[in-house]
Amino acid sequence: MAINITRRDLLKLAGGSVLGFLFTPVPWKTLDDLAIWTQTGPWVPKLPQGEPATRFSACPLCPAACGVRARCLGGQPVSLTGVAGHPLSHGGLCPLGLAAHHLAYHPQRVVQPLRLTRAHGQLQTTPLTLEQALAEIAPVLAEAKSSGEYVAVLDQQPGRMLSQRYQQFLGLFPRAAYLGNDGGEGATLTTLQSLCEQPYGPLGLDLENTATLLSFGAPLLEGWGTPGHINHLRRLQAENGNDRRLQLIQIEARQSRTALQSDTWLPIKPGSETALALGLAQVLISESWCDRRRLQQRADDFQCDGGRSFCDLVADFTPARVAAITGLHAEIIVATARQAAQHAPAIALGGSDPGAGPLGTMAELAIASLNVLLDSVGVTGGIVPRRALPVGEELQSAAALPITNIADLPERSVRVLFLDAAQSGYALPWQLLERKLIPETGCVISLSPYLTGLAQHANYVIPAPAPFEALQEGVTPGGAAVASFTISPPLLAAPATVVEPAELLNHLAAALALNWTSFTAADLLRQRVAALQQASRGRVFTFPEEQWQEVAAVGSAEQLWEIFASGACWQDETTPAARLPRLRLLGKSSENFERLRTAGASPPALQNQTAGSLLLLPFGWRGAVGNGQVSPVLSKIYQESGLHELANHAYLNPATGRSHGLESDGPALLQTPAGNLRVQLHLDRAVPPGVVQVAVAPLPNGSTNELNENVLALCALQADGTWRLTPAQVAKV
Amino acid sequence: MDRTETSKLRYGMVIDLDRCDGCGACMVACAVENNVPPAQPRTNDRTGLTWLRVFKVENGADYPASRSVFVPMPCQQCELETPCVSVCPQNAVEVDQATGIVTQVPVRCLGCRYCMTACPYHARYFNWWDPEWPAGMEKTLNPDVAPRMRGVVEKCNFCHGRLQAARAQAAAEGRREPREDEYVPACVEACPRGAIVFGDLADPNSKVAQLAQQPDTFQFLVRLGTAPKVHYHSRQPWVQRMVEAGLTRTKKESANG
Ligand code: SF4
Ligand code: SF4
Ligand code: SF4
Repeated sequence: MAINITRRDLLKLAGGSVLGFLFTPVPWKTLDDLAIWTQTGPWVPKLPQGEPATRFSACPLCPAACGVRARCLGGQPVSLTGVAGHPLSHGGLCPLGLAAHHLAYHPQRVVQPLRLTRAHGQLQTTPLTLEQALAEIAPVLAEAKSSGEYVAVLDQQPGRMLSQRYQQFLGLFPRAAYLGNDGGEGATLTTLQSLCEQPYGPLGLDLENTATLLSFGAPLLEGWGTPGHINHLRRLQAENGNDRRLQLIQIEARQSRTALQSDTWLPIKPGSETALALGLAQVLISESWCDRRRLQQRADDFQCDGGRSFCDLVADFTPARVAAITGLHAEIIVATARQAAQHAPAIALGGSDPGAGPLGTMAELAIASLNVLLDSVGVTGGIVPRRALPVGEELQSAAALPITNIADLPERSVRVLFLDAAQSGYALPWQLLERKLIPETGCVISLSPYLTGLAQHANYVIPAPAPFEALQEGVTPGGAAVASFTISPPLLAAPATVVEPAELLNHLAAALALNWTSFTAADLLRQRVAALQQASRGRVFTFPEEQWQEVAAVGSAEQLWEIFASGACWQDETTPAARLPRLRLLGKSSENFERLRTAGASPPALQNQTAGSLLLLPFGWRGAVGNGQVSPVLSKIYQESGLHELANHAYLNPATGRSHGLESDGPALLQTPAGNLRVQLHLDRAVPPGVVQVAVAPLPNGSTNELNENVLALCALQADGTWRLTPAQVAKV
Repeated sequence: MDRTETSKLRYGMVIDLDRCDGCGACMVACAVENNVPPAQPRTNDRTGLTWLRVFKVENGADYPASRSVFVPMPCQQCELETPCVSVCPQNAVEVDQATGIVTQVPVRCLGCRYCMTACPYHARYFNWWDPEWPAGMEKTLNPDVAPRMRGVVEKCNFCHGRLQAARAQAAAEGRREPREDEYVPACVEACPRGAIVFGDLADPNSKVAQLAQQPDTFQFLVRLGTAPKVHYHSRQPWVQRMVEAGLTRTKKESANG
């Protein structure tokens, strides 16, 4: 008899067996075993315990140089925390600093000199030995020297001994420029200095004793100055709730984190900072909140004949007019000026988001003058003079080159541009530098541990030590009231092929047979420590013990060096208050009256805006927008939580979106006169109307050989080197 | 579960939402401490692995009236009816009676993800991929915490490795339990704003217990009766309204017991 097995019978059998099998413990036990087995397989990283130790250093990622306590196992740092009693950082470390011990292993790490070429958006790299790289670079420098073309250095952390060395090196070339990038953090203070007839400064902010801080966009709670210090002040106030509580008034178009956390947020229209500063000045003068007689004596152009004095300028900026320009109510403008005058000492501070770049010279001029009107310069709780950090003996005599504003450097004039390795934390559009280079022959040499940011645009990358691989120094951070100095002792051994920037200068000087005394990075730092010991100023805070020691009580430079070698921070004594010398409120150029008037009425960037176009505002947070790289675990706060906006994500107010036919989130094309960029569009009610905000951010775990396109490449560069506002169009794709 | 009879210690947190500025230092410190690997390129906020996620919550108004707060959300360490515990077929989740900490045992976890469905706070994360660290970076891992593999669920355990270390220290000194300053989770230590306070809620003298009693302190989803040991604090009326309006029992729910 034929056995007829149908497909249906087979399925029944299979189904029945599976069902029966499920009633046995076999599958569950198998799953269980599988679960345990996967946890013990050979692919699970084995974590050797190693000898435990606590070591100390300072975070080398930004000029703040926060104190770092490293938990090390077998000599390897496995976690970093702040140093609790640290006088500057007060135990704080930002997210970047907390994971800085990962950076030596970043996928984009460079450990060998590279020659770079670019074709079709791809980066091609040719590994070289140091000798080969020097043999290619030295002749270019020799040519620049003989032809008198510019040699320039972009120093991301000016004020270091290495900075002095860069200047000394540049001094050996007939035409040289020393460029800096602090994102405008110190602009209010340097602008104030520039108004004075006699040299005055350097300057700092006595925030401990300030009553009102009028911040024109300074990202105070997003990593400005020494983030730990600002956080400490806010913490103290939250805990004590004392009467002298610092009132933070944030003046900013974007709803930044600082705006959200401030006591008062004044959401002004983009680009109207100059108008508001002049408007506040108008109220202070017209309501006699400032001492006219004293100002008259001190400021040559406060009020003078000819209708072009400071008083004449601000007279036009009445609350009603400024209200129309800024979008704030006139009463709020009047109330803000009164509050600053009554709740003294008050400081007006210019600044801006690290992705958005500096505020611009006219806005800074108006803000600097506001401080003079508020009489907050040279007083406790105001803007105070501070002493400079002593420089090593050998370098003291070297002619120091002043920092040249990048915008002031002639276009197409630079033959060789060195990009310093230090991470500034402030964005810099590549095209700002590119237009300074001589086309075709301009040569860019990046001293960088990573192939990211500006280094991607270089012709050569010389691998610098990664964070914590070399002795580095932290000098007085922006805005600090007194000078300070920290050494970060290395926690890791650098690969043998890494070249310290100071060494590179020695090699190049030798290759060019320049008149040059070689110093290692350690030599330079020892010189500074010796200079500190000789000056016998201030106190040193040691990290392991969290104790202070007077420098005057340290017997020798060698002893002081020993103190620094295990982690320490030096802080100067406070400088006696010194009133401002005579000054010109409108600055030294006779054209400033007109420039300020125009900038106040309508920022230059907005003058060419066509009807219907949006305003492109780039933004980003400190450290994450500069040249450096972030730890791969920063993917937690980028792609896994959306806490920080990813690169090339664009944000529009829904109402603005509707009026431009953009009704939903999704891919879009951002267009400006400088080019196009594909972005991911988000409708967000916290965005100002008429604006498109685009994040400048790193690739948190990025390992790509594609040139990382950046929204900064689409920004319109202004004559003063700013790029804050650019007319743009957004279209769905 | 009756806490008064069982647990001696009740570790918990108070997070001040008025102080948190959403920097994310806590999330990074948590990842470093607990060997949570970097995200794979295709990861998103559904498939990501963050034991502590800081959410941005908006008041819904339009610019310039719009405001946001940042809400750090670790495992809420539910004390009563702990939802993840009751659904786990493998007993891979337990409430430690001595500390009140809800522990997760990855080696027992089958990856069925019932607990993820049950957790009303979305505080649990599934490992979609084998962990990968860039070459060399595995040297920076914390040897006190075992890395987890693909296919298991994981979550905040109040830095269990740190509790063990603190207990070992206390035992070495002849004490039964660590002092308050000896056991500090990584996120608490890292927060530059001092927004997170941690300690024993059962000790009325502890800072955390006192803060938890403050009038502007609240818990999320109290109506579910899970009694979270993570409390939040805000003086901002809209934040309180948001929690009250959205997260307390409705009349109908109360009527139904
Ligand atoms: S928050 Fe979620 S994971 Fe944590 S105990 Fe409660 S239910 Fe479990
Ligand atoms: S307590 Fe520990 S495990 Fe939990 S969120 Fe904080 S750092 Fe992460
Ligand atoms: S570290 Fe503190 S301030 Fe930063 S996100 Fe976490 S809780 Fe908020």
